[in-house]
Amino acid sequence: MKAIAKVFLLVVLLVLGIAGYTYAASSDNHTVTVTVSAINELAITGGNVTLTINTATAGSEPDDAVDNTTADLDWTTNEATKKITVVTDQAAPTFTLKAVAQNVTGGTAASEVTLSTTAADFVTTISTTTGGCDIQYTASATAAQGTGSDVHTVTYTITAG
Amino acid sequence: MKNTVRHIVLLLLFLLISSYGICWAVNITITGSWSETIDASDLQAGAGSDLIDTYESASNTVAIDIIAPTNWRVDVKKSDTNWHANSQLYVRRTSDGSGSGSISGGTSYQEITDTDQSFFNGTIDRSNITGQLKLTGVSVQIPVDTYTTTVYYTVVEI
Repeated sequence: MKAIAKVFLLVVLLVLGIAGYTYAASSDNHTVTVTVSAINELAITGGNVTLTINTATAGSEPDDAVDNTTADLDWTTNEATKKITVVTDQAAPTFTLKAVAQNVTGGTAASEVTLSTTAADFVTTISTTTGGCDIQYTASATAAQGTGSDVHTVTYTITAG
Repeated sequence: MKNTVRHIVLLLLFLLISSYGICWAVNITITGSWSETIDASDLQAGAGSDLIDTYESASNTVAIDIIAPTNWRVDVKKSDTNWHANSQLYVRRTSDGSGSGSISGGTSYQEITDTDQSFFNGTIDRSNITGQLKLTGVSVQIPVDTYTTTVYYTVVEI
């Protein structure tokens, strides 16, 4: 009986030993680190815009000059709660120049704004997205303002919003 | 009584040898790591475009050395510290390394998941087996942050 018990014990240990040998394993590792930096890119395409006011209906103020096909605005951001503002460097223009975003993707157009040296919202509610729009400029003048020209450098900025 | 003592000594020796076998039977050593920084230069076409979707490490980013007395298999998995669900990580073997044994499999990219999956297999010792990693699913939808995962390679005797 003792001998049987010993044999049984030997078999059990043998099985355990073989099992341990069969599942021998070793492990090592390395890390992978991906750093995503803040991306807030904005670009104007289409170039400079020229608006000429040269028509009127007799008895009325001159007709507005409108351009919404020349310049587009594109943007990319991987941050939340952003907006695009617009500002001109022309502190004392003779004539009125307005801008509004049209056909907006990746944001919400703000109301048409009369350009000034104070930044105004142009597109809002931009969040981790790509986007774009047409820029519509409207120039207007009164007969009393006479003739002349204003040159604006218009700057768009993507900023926290 | 003498026989019993002899048996016990033999059993203890057997256990010791078995345990020793577990310790030295196989060993894997990993060298290397991968860091990737994604910024505005990775936009597909500047403002208005999304980020490039896919990034690859150098073909020899990872070097794997295996010491084993017999047939073996390498499994791979990852454990995330901070990882974005939109991104997937892949690995492939880019060289056979060198050594007296053989090696096969793992030369096509396979996704690394959170559970062990067979990567490649071989026999006996192989050293300087190189590996390459690939990251996919990158877009501006992934918030600004540092994402880290640990890739585990486990060699198992088969």
